[in-house]
Amino acid sequence: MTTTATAPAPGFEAPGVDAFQLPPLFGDVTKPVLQLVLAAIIIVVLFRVATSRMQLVPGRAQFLGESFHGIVRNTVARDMIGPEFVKYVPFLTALFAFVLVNNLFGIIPFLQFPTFSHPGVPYALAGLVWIVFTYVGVKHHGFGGYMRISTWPPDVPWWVRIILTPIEFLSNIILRPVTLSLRLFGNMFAGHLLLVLFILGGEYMLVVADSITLKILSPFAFLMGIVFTFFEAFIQVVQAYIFVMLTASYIGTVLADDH
Amino acid sequence: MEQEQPREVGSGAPGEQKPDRTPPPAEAWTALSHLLTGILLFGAIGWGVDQLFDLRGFTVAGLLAGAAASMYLIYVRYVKS
Repeated sequence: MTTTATAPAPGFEAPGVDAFQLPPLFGDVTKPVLQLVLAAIIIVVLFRVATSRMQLVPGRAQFLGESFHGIVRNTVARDMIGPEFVKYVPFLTALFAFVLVNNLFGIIPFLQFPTFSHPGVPYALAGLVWIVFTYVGVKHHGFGGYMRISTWPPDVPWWVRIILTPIEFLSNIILRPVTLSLRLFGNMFAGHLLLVLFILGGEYMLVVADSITLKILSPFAFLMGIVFTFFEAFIQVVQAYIFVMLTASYIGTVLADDH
Repeated sequence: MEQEQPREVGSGAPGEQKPDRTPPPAEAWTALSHLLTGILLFGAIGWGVDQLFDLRGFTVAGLLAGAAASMYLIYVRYVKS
């Protein structure tokens, strides 16, 4: 990064996938691994605080905890799953909290890395979701019944089923976890890349570049970085919500009775 | 499975205002997923046929047939029922 006054400044190299290849901190442990553990600890501690000394008239912590739980319970689980929603609320609340905290790590100073921008992490989480909704479906309908509601379009001739069943099988059983994880990964990856680009671009314009015009214009790059940080905060919340909403809808779908 | 159904419908019906089918926002995602899956699946089959027999045109035919099949599937699943 240090340049002598005479040498021409090196050209700006846009950040790419390299920005996500963080070196291991010790052993095989990287920053995203630590963030996953940290997220779990944060959530456990916050809910501990919120649920200790529960009172009929809630205190501040209890109120926040109950509001968070209420959002998942009322706007996600009840709408998506139907009459049997209550027993899935703890799982969905934990899932929402976990995704949300890990997403918000992307804009929290010093962490500033959304854990799910590494595709392996959302794959694992979507795999867990897949196991849950497949288990729920098989338990509720039996294996044959689960396959029937997932891959057997009603009221069509047999030869049409030959065409439609493979589509539904792929879409409902194979691709659901894939799209679920890729949606989250893509949003977090792109968002982080955008922030890195604006901040590194601003730094390059201010520190490295020779041109005085670029130095004067550099605050605008930082300003855009700040604007997009707020935008990212919004995206991170929305993506966590969508992730948990789709999970709930998958559970709701496999619980639904076909007719 | 068949015997179970009346009991399920009967037990869920009285106090329940939700229709027991896929909820609307998820329907949109599922429909989109079906649409892409159909196009890609039959496009891939057509492409395979083209490669295998050194032909042309089956890829396009597969893509179009896949699109038609997925739209019909979406109609069957979400419009007709």
